[in-house]
Amino acid sequence: MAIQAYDTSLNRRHFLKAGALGMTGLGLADILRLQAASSPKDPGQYKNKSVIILWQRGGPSQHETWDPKPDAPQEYRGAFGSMPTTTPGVHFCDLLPKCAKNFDKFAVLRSLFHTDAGHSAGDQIMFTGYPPQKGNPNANIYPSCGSIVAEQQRHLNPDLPTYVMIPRRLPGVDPAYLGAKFAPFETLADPAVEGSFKIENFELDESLSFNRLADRKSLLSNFDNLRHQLDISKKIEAADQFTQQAFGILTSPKARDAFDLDAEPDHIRNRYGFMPEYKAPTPDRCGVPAWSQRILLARRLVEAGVRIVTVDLRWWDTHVKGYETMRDGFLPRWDMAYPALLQDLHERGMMEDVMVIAWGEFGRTPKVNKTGGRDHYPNVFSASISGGGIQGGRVIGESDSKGAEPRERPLNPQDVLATMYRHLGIDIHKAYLDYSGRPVPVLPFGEPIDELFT
Amino acid sequence: MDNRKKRLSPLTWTALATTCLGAPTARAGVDQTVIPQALEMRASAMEKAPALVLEGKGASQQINLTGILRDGTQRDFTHHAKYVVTPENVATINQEGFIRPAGNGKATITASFQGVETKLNLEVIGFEAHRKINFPNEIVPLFTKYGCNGGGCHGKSGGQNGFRLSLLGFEPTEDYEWIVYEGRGRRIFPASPEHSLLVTKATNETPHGGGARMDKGTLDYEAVVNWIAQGMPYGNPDDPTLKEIRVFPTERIMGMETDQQLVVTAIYSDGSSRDVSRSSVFEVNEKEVAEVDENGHVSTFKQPGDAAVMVRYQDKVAVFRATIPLGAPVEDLPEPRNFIDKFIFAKLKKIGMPPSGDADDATFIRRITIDIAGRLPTLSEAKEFLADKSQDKRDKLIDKLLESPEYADNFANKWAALLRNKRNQDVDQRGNYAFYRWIRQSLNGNVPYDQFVRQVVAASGDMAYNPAVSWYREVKTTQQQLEDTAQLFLGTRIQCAQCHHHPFEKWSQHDYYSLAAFFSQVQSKPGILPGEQMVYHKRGEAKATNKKNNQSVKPAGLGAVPLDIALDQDPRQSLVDWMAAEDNEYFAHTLVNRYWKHFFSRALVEPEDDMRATNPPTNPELLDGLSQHFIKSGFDLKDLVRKICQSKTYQFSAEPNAHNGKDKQNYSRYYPKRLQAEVLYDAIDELTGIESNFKDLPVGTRALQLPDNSWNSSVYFLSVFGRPDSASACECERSSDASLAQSLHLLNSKDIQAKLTSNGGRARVLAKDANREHPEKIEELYLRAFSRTPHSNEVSLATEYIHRKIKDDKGEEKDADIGQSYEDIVWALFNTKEFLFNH
Repeated sequence: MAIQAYDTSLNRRHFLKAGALGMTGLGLADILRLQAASSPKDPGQYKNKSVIILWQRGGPSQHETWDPKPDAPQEYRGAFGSMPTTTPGVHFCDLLPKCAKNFDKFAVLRSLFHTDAGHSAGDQIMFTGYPPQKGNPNANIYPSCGSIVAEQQRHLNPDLPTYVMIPRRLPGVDPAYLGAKFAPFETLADPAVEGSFKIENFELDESLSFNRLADRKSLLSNFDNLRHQLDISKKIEAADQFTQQAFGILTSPKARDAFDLDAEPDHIRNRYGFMPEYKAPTPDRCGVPAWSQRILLARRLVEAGVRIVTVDLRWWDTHVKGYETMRDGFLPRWDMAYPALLQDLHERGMMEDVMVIAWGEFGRTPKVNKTGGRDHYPNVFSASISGGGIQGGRVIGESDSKGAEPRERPLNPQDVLATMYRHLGIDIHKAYLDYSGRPVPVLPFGEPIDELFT
Repeated sequence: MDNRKKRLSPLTWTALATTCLGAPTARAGVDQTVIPQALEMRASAMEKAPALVLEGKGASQQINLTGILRDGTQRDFTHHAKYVVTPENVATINQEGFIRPAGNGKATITASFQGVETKLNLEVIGFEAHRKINFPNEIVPLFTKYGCNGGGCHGKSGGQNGFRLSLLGFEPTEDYEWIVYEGRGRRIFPASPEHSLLVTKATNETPHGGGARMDKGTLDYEAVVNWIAQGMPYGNPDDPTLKEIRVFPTERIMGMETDQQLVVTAIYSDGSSRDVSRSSVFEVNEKEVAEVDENGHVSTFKQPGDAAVMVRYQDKVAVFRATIPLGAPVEDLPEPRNFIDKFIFAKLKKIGMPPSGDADDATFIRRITIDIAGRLPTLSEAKEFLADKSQDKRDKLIDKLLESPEYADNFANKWAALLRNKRNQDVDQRGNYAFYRWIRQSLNGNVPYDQFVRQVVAASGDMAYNPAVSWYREVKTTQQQLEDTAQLFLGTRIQCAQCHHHPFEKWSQHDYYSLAAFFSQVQSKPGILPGEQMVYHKRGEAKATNKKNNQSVKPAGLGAVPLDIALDQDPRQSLVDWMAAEDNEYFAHTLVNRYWKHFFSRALVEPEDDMRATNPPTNPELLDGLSQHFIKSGFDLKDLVRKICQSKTYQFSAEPNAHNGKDKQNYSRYYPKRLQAEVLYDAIDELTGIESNFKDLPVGTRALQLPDNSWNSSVYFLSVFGRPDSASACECERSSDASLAQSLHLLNSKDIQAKLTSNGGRARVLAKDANREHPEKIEELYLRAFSRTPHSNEVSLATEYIHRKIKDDKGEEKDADIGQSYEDIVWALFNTKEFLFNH
């Protein structure tokens, strides 16, 4: 399927000029070539821009992260205290001391909200900006932000996939009507698993050798004699190009290096930490995979030229004895790896180029439930965001005294997506035709959050 | 659809245009040596154009100048003639044939090209003042023209940055309210109209998220400013309303790299008409063939074919069709086999596109076995067919394949996805298997298509007894039911009309809800098996409420009269009666168009489920011919396939000749297509001699026979090669795009490598076979992969490869392992495009 775009932003006058241009000796082929080379806005400006989404799947509690309510009654405040940060007057949960110390590198949004308390439904909203499909929220009916980025901005490093999912797909991350071409590239291999890290199809299968692959390649080129000109739809040519790219990945170190987590020096790896998996003590609770190194892999990938990486950091779904899971599971791992990522980006001078968004599909109920946990709660929740010109130490928006409703500057997830899209130079007015032929814009609404930058 | 052009940013266009416009421009478009016999100038698309009268300062008029050539053909000269107005103080005309009044009086416009002349009389009246502007007729269309009220901007529900407009201007009263009164009238500044926010935002004088949409000083700018200066009149209730728009010309045969100026005329309820060429919105369907600018000026590229330009103005549409011939000699056409060839050959002659020759037997058997049966020909089938010397062997093969169970496998796979046989939870399994089996049996038994559709759309009863009821499990709401019915069976995407008038179609909300009314009495309750349901007609009057005006509407087919249906009668039966009637314009057309695409990769109307007046077929006679044939045959699907496959057209080679390499619309050759995911997976199994196992299904089940989508997640190959998830009624959900993940999978995955290296696999078996020489074994592989014998150089390449020396770890030369060499050869064969594509 070819994607059908319906560009609402393009000023029609420019078509007129293009028509005139067509008459000045530039043929259609030249025009198409110029177009293929150009991205939505000035490509130079966005050449090195990329995004990491740290996906705190399950829905992290606002109270136990960025928006503690020390003055609220115990049943709202929860089990933990709060601590000051580098910004006077701003407190975080007191189990996040490193985050508090590094607050100069990121900003916090405290007034996000939406209206769906289902996990997969929230996934859809956060990744696509659109509501879920009724009855089956697991399936994308709108394309994920990653797929849209891949469709609009794909040439940062042609040796690498544009859109990567560590380690595998989740509800919300699929391309829907943009087509399989813009699906995330899943690493499948998981840095959370002990042992050396290998991307399956990137590493030459053990039964093959480089010589043998070279033999196969030459054999193929000898046998492969179907003429390209048979196929004006260019599908044969595209298949060929990808085959060449695949050979390149298998035989040249470039792409494999990007994914070669083991090549990171120990002092960097240790900074993110190797905290082991936190196993759920009882079946009604969620565990925490040893995901710290997934975050490092994400940095490695954006450094190599991947445009957008989504990292699965599950499973912040703390219904039962949440304080215990947070204390022993999520918070220590998060407090080590997240500031490590920001420091790492900072030291490498990548903060301007890489925007990092850390959030989950919603927050948690303001009131602690009977089993010592908090339940799903989309009415207000927090997120942290950094890089790409975002000023650190900022808090945008405010929740009420119990962390139950936005009090000031209510924010939609779409505002965060719009902020991210602007960073990448994505045209949010562009519309794509869905399966019924209806033009659907990149976002239904949402404006970049300007206060983050000034 | 090529969307690369659209992705180019305004910024880039401007930059390019600035550089290029500085250079000397040689205007393409008309061969200056062609001298027309006569010229005709017209200022209206009406049959009998009224005398050209321009009233008021803001009036304007686009003209069209057509030349009649020596051979009787017509060609556009509008942008290439010399124009003179006498006396010149009455009006001005520019090089594009666009007239503006300059003062009251009568004048004559003379157009001349290479000494040939024609004249047009014109009168300007009321020049002292601006004519009273009518808001819905003159201002609202500008919002559409400049993209202000599009779905991505102010037209989306809730608007953009607090300012709302009705989507594409379908609700002028609301637009008026929002512009004039909302926000305490802050958008309008009557004391100084040009300082109104509405105006300064549009020109970006006040910073505007959408940038500058309208230039200062243009006609449109003046219209908006004058409307404000006039006190923002809405117009009188008895002002004429728009009845239709017409475009001139409606069709033309155009040369490559030539141009055509369109004239669009709005016709009002009082019989008056007005030029709206510069207020309409134009869009081309085939963007590689032609483009159109905002003033209705069409330019063709160096690409023969057909293009349609859709013209929209308010809620009316019109279409201009351009045929751009190649003009090569078309001789020695084969004798037409049936009506399909007659219509195809007529078109090929008309546009001068000589077809490729006949596909050879090997290509044919592979092509048709894949297209009808969804599999590769077996070794013996290929050998027998190649050896068969009988004249009618192709016909016999077509019949044999149509009678084979694999025909049903192949088309059941297609229909199961379109009928959304989708597994959402484990409990769906039984119903999905039963629905799949029902679909497959219907196809196998060649149940007439109208009956097949009736059993689905009007399905009643318990899923446990009537599997077709399963359609209603995935297609739950009235909205989904009517939309899927319209898109899948009537080729009409009516979704838009739920909330507003369809932007490219005549369909209004009234039509949408009339269709919805057929489904209004559909009820369901839990079935006897867990998770299943029973669907039935609830006694009562079939009706729906039009959301726009809260009026109750009766059931009616698209464009058909409303029906009174007895309370006890299931209205869905009446719907299918209407659909399957002989004179229905949508039902048969949609099916034949869909099936045509199955075989030819390109539908006569693209996309195949978006058939509308503004998206005309490339070969209307053929589409009609196929539909009529299909109806007369009693909706016989196998017969339709037989007729298509018997045609000479289907049997053309994919190899282009000197002329038709660029053809992608006229079927002058077979267009190659990548094997679909399931077929490719089975084909690799077949070539490697491996049977894949699919969870919960008997050994020997092929990927093509998977009853629903639930294996897509476990069989990576299927999802990565684009097997659809049955999430919509659109075939576009299936992807045949190439991707890196596909290539990596074919090159280097455990899945593929395991098939190759399996002990019982083809490579090992051939390597061990001591009774045959290598060339014979290579021949077997070629016959299995491509249904052809290898060329001698291919045999020698392969045997040399088997006998080659390789270096071991210590750098010493040794013989290559024969088993591995066969693996490599098999691998190379299924990685060739000759294998991956049907051609």
